[in-house]
Amino acid sequence: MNPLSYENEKIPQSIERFLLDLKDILGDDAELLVNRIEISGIKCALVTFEGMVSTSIITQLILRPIEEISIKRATPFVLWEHIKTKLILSTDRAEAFTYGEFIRRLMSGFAFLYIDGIDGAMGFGVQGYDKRGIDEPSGESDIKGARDGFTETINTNISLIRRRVKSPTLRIEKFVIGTKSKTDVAFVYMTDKASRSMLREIRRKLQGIELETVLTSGYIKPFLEGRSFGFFDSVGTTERPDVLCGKILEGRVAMLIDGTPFALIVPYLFTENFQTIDDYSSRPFYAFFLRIIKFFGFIISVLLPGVYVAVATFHPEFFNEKLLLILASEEASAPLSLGAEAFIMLILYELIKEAALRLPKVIGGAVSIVGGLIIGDASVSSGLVSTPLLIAVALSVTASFVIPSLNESTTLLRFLFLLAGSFAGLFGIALAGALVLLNITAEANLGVPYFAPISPFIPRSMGDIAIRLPFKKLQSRNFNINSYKGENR
Amino acid sequence: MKISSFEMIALLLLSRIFTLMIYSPIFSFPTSVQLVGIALSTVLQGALALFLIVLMKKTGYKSFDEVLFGNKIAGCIFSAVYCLFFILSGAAVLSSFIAFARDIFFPGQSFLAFALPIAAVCIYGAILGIKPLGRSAGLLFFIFLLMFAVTVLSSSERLSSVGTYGGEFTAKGVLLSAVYDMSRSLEFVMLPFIAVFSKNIRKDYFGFLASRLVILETAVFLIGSVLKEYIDYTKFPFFTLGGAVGGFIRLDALYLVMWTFCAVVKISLIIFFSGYIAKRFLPRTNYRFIYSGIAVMLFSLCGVFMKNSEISAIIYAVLSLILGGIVPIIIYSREVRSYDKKTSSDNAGNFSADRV
Repeated sequence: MNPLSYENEKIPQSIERFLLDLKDILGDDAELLVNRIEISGIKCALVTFEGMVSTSIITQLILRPIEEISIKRATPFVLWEHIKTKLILSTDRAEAFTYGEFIRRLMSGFAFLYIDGIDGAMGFGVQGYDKRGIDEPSGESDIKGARDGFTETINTNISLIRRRVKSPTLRIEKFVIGTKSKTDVAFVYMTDKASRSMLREIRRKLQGIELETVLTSGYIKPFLEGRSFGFFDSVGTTERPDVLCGKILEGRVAMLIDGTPFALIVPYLFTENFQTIDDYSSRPFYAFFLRIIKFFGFIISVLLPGVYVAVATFHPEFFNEKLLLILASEEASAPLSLGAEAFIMLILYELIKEAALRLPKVIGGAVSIVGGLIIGDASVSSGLVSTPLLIAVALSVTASFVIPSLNESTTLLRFLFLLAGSFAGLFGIALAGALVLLNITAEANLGVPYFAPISPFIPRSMGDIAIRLPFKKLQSRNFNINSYKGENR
Repeated sequence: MKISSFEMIALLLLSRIFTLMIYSPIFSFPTSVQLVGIALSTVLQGALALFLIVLMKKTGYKSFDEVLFGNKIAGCIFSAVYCLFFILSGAAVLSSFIAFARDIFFPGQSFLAFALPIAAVCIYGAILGIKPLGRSAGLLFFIFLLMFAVTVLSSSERLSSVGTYGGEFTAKGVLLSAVYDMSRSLEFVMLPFIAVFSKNIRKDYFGFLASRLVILETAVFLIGSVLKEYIDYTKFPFFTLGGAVGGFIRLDALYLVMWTFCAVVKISLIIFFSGYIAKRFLPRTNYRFIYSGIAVMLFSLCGVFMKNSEISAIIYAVLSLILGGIVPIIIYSREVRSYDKKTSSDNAGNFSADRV
């Protein structure tokens, strides 16, 4: 048996051949456990992987009932049928007739019973590997929402969704992606909400994946995106089951990937970055206020350093007299140009952020203090950087924390606008703005324009964008994302 | 690929608003003359457009380039003329944009410092196509409306004083004002080409004409009544108006930003349509290559042609009338005649067959 091309090879009827094949495929894997037993006089083998199954469950639910089997004039087929039809053993059962299926399930924590004379094996889901418990999502905190977040185990994540949506129209389709990793990917949607053409398109996109392994959701994301050169992500990410349920109830499709707590959502809109689950727990006027703050935060985080440098360098007449005097006195002692100062400050911030993120948490805190306080304070007091510029950079960076899902985009756009403002003032800012606007309005995923309902402008959908209407009004809207598809024709 | 009515109207309006922002009076006519001239030009454009749209409808809204290429040689010649006209118009637009920016905000800056970045963005816009251009225009039009509303509201105090920019009301003045407006109506020449991208060309184009009339008349009235004689001393009255009336915000800063946006939209649109026509000649050439080539031509010609003078305005107006009205009407009329002939001969054939 060639260990590289076993996928479609059929399982043989002879136990000796079967065990030899297993040795060929898996080598002398120390974790592979093969227990040869005899049931009603027929040779059998129970195959498991150590550490993947629960020893107590396997003993209680499988080994004991199997040992008690006593069939007169037993044949392999009769024994197979007996176990199949008269014993439950495990609710999660599977039959494998090819080595591909057998190995994949074996490595997912199944225990397989092979019966000599049968060209297949019977699997029982007795997974017992260690897994992280359900915990609060680390990147999407909220005040009044649920406290449970997705984990790395796909089945746990599916149960979190099923507990919230108990509708028979909730569908979960499982795929296997990764020629080597054989990662389980679940495709979650509502049959009465998601459009068939959208599902077809997603299946087509997933079938085009030829990766060897899928270690994080980022491996699959590019295959689901609308265009390659977008400034923004047209695929959403969440680690909150409540958010995911909200999305699939609006006709979207979610993707759970085994091994990562981040689920993917398609199609995703720009405006969704400004919505949080807390908006729906607060009173509408407060939610409206929060949304405005978030939109404002986004604009500040992207534009402030660039516009500040542009106006101060090229159009100082736009400042009022007092402010201009303050800026002039501060800048008089700075050795570098304003653009260079801002650029260095932003690069320094990114360096400190990366250092704080990658280092162990204890040291990470110290890095923040050294970077933020000591370097920041020293650079201002030494006159290397002016205070107003430092305020502009700090404000911009702080504002970006308001919309964490746009962090990647805001970081890059901040640099783009800074460069544009440094070289060409407001003209450069406007050109960069036009570039971003053209880019964002050209983005569409699965036929849904990314910038909807702002552009194309869809008035009926504005009730949950800048403002958040009361639920009494929202409930009658029965919003479905597929209603935007017509706007892209 | 069609765009919504709102997007189409916004796209055409932004294109026209660009020329409003660089509105530079060359004939020094009184405000009342200019108001009537603009109305006259709009009525003329509307009448020609209506006639053209009726003809288009009779051909089942066949695209203009398809009709042009019914005769290959004539198609090639006319397409080349349209393509060249759009490129020259784009060059004129860009040259006025750079002249304004260098004059007001960046004195002494080199031409390339403006041309290269704007070329890159406009080529990108043209490559993305009319849909993103239309959507961007829709959003930008809201910002323009906001800015315009602030201008109108801020002007209200100054409007209380009597009179506008004065002078004698003459028929010649009205005619020349109409010619001047016509010379700046590139959108009229685009009409036969935009039909294929419009869901309802009649609604879109007349919506554009009506909105254009309201905006232009209001702007010209405000300029005349707020700036009055000061118009003679200002190069860009609409921009000066922004600086003069901006009470709580610096409108001139917003104007610069808005104006850059409009320039990008207009030049991208011009490159897009030039490329759309050029693709007929070069069907196998990559469209990105075509757009880039057109942009290079446009930027190379920038400033060479179409200086802001009386003669150039008259030439431009006549060319606009010919290319936007007369040529498409003649070509569509021929198409309708041949279509009618074909239909009647088909009917005659059916009739004789029935008799047999």
